[in-house]
Amino acid sequence: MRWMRQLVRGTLLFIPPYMAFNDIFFSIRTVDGVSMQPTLNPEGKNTDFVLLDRWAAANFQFERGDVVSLISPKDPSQWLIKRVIALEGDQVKSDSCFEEDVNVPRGHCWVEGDNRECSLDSNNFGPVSYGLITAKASYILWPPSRWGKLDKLAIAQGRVTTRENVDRGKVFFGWDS
Amino acid sequence: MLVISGEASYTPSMASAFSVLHKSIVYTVSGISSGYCVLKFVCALGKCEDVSMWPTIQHGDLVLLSPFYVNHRLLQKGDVVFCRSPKNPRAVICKRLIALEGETVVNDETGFQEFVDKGQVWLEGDNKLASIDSRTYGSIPYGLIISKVTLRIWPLERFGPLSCPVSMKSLPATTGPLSEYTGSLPANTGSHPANTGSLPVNTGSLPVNTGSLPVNTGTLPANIGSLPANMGSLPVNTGSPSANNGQPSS
Repeated sequence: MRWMRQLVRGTLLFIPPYMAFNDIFFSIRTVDGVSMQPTLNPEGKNTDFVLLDRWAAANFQFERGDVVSLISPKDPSQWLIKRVIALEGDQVKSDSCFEEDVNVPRGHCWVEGDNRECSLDSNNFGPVSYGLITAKASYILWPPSRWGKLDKLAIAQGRVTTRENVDRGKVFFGWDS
Repeated sequence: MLVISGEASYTPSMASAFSVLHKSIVYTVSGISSGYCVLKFVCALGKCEDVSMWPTIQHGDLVLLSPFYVNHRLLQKGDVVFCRSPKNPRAVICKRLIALEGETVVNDETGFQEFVDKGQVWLEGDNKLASIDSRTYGSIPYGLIISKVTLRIWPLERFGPLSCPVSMKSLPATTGPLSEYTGSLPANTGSHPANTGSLPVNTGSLPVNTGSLPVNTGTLPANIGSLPANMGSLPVNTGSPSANNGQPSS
């Protein structure tokens, strides 16, 4: 009985630090679906585990070409994993049926899956707010053959017109009324 | 043998010191992180430095937040929520939830009727003149909501739950993209309680009316039944006009 009590106590002591660590620093998640196919889940099976850097996302430390995870704007219980194509202030060529130029508004970014044929991304729901981005995917953990850093991917030439002179990442403490 | 006995005399103090240190570290870390978890997932205190919710929440009010309601999707129409600003991810706004997904609202500023898309919500401040909200930037994704505001704590004279206005509670569910009711919402909801009060009186009198109906219908067949008898006797009377004239007059 003694070992059982110790096991219960150990679990109860372990759960809060685990949850807090998952919420602040890093968490490990599986990748569902095929929307990031050349990079993640290349065989079409849900095998990949990625390390999500939550600290980086909380401080908005992501660039164009980074893989991020975000809360779906269509379904809040679902997390998506996509690649950032354009940041706020940029002009991006939309890939939807209209092929039009989209100005990414302030506080938003443009995300797309690597698998352009079957991916539910900004071409469907438009630019997403920075507040929805929960983490930056920094490492592939599980299939040991592809273990390594998820590196930035250069975006195709001419797709994005970048504007660097936007006061991006300015620290703002206070309230927007 | 000597070494072993020497160890045996030396280790207990070391082990106890180590276990005390180990225990204290474990308990401290666990306590701090469980505190963080409670603040992050269950309830927390917040200070509202915003005029967009005046007079419900005034500048500098201390409020109790419950992220629990957001994580488990228990939010209802009329709740006050803290939300990340869609334009500025580092700012937090405090607004009232007007419509959930799949409903239609009328935008006061543009005058258009707008459909709140799936996974989105419509937020507005109580102070319509000062607040910049969904009327300006449209419906915002549910994922941006941080927590629900449940209690107003600090100015003690105004301590209490954040009341939801009556007009919000009795809002008819306007589901579907095309609804005709949203245009005249405030007028309808205002007169609603009075109408429901007078309704039971009308329904009470209804059984009386229905009860008297069978009696009336019961007498009708008797009248119809007596008609052929009169018709049948008519030819007989016309046969003797003198006797016939004498009978009605008497």
